[in-house]
Amino acid sequence: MGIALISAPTVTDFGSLEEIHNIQVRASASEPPLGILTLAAVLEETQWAPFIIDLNQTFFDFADAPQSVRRQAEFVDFAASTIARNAADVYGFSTICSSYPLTIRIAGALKAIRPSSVIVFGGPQASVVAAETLRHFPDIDYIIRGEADDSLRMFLHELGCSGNFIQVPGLTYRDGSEVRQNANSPVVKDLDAIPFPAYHLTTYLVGASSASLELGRGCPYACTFCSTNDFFRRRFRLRSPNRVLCDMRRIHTQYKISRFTLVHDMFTADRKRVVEFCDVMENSSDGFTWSCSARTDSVDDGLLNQMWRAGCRGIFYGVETGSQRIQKIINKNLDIDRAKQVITSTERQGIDSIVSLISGFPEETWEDLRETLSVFMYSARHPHSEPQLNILAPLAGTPIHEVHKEQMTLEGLCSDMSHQGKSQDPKNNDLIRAHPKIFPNFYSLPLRNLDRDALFELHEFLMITAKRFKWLLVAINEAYAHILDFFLEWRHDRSSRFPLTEWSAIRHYYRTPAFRSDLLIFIRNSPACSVDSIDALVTFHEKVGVLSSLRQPDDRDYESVQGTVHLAWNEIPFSKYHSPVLELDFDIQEIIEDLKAGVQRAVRRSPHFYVLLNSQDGELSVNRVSDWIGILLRECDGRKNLVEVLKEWSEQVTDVEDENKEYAFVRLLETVSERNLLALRRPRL
Amino acid sequence: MDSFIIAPKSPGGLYMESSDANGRILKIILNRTDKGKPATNDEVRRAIDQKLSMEKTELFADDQCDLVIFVQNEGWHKK
Repeated sequence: MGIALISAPTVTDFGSLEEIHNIQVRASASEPPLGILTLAAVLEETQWAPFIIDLNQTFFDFADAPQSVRRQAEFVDFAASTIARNAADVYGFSTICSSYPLTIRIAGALKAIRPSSVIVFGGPQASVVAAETLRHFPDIDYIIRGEADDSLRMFLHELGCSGNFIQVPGLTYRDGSEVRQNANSPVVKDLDAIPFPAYHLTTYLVGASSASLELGRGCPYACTFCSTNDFFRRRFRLRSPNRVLCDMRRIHTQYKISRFTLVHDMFTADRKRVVEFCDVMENSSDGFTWSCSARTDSVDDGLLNQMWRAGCRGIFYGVETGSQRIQKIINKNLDIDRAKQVITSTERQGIDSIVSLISGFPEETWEDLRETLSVFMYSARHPHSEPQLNILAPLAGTPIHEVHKEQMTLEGLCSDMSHQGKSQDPKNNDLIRAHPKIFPNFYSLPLRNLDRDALFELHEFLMITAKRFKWLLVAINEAYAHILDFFLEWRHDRSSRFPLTEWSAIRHYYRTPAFRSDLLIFIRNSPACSVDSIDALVTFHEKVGVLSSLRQPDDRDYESVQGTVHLAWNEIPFSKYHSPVLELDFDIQEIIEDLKAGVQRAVRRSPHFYVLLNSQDGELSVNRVSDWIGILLRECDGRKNLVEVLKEWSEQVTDVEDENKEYAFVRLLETVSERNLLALRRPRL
Repeated sequence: MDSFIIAPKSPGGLYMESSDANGRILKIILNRTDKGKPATNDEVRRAIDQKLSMEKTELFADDQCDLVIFVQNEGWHKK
């Protein structure tokens, strides 16, 4: 029996050309689908040899295909044809909420091509809407709910033999015109018995810098918005530390990877077992690093220190809301002051953190939102903490959905969890509109107090500004106005200049350079700029904007000069952007130190030079250089030759003896060239 | 001096020579040393070394790409 396992698409939201070719979108698509790879490994242990189809890659293949191909078919048909080329008897689709409409459509198109094949769904979304899905979508034959490590094997066995499906736990299937649901499958108690993911069937880890490994399953808590309990039940389980280490070593040996994302909804629920895990990692000499998720009420300084020593370099904290009142309503029950302390402790230990927050709870007031944004900004003022604000999506099967399912409304783009792109496929929307019980995550919950349009725009505003203008945002929040009030001021100004009513238009606007320049102009002209630190940071971003607008000369006209080279004194050096050096009359790091410490004082004015460098993670880091280097780079403007640059430099640099200036100059030239601060190029003859 | 060589990766730090008269820049330094002022040379080197340093700040410049796109952490945010 031929079996194809098909991953759930995660990037098909990004349908526009700019989005498809974005490097972040491409990078996120390379995340291995652990569930599919684990099931493939389970099947390989028996008589089956499954193959894996990655719908993200299929999506990129479609996007990269010639226009003639894209004109003839839409992605659904292209994906179905691609899958069908791999002849199989059973096609097993993994499903998640955001791409569920698309997955159903692809499965339908596949069934049309291969009508005799069996189509099985599994994964988080299909598990919670199994019966409804089978009732409305006849092309889907079976759904295996919950953990399928055992039940998929049993299902395939029954499919190949007697077809006695009543024996298969967790299976939803048709019996004549009836849809039957067998009892839930028991959870896998011994996770060490589950085989190593079938990475060998894919190329995900070839050349990758990190790998995902399953650390355990099941969260013992019962937050009302969260769907994880339906899938993994509430049975907290961990793999043994030695098994995790063994898998890490296996990946390291094969792929030279030393960095791991350890997947578990709530790793730190059992402190004793976290300590056991850390002991094993600390005592190993492998030097692996890893990230995990945790609750802020289950870690403290001591544990964080031990986790750091054991290689932990990143923690995801779901804080969800800064309002103590909403904490109680959603049954999360975190203490906000403690959460803040833990954010600081994590920073102090040298561990990166992501602080995830949610807004859009039906009971949420403006004051609750204000408190949530205070936590957002608290995280933002820690250099290694990244705040995220998400709009609540009512996930199928969650208590919050059950309570409010009759009051949901469909309003275009809703939660970033359900759709991250700038527009939605109309055919998906037709499905969503027709089946709110199957696709509730695309709907909005009622908001008794908040303005939904403002909330949606706030999300777009914050996610962009926290990334692009983090310290400016912190300065505004600390020295001018609470970030919510500032946002409302900005929004009033923005909407008076050009009203945007469509959510897709708002999302698009915030992602364009126009927003960047509009925001800087708005702050420059607002009373906020009377605050020294805000004025300084706006100046910084304005100057970065000017630098970036300078384009490189056409490479065809110039010869790049690298390594050990002869340079004639009459040659003309120039930098990447003619002048990559930023000249500021303040120390930018001193301002950041003040913001981190919550200190407000006048900015001390003195000349400082900075250069921008591409860092490994694709960010443009800002680096302080000496006045000697700064002046040298400034003078290498593409117009002066080396003799003239030396002359200008010598006149401005006064703290070196004349007789040493030429020596110092060449030494500097060497250094800036080595560091790629100065691209030495000469016109081609 | 008409030209010189820069050799960024040369072992031992500074290595320079002119293309028309070998060791011309180097010779300037050596001449000073030869004149009995080796300390001066070391001081110069030390002073220059300080000026070569570069400190990373905790600020990032927002890149000027045409479109900013955020992709949430798939595993954590998409169920």
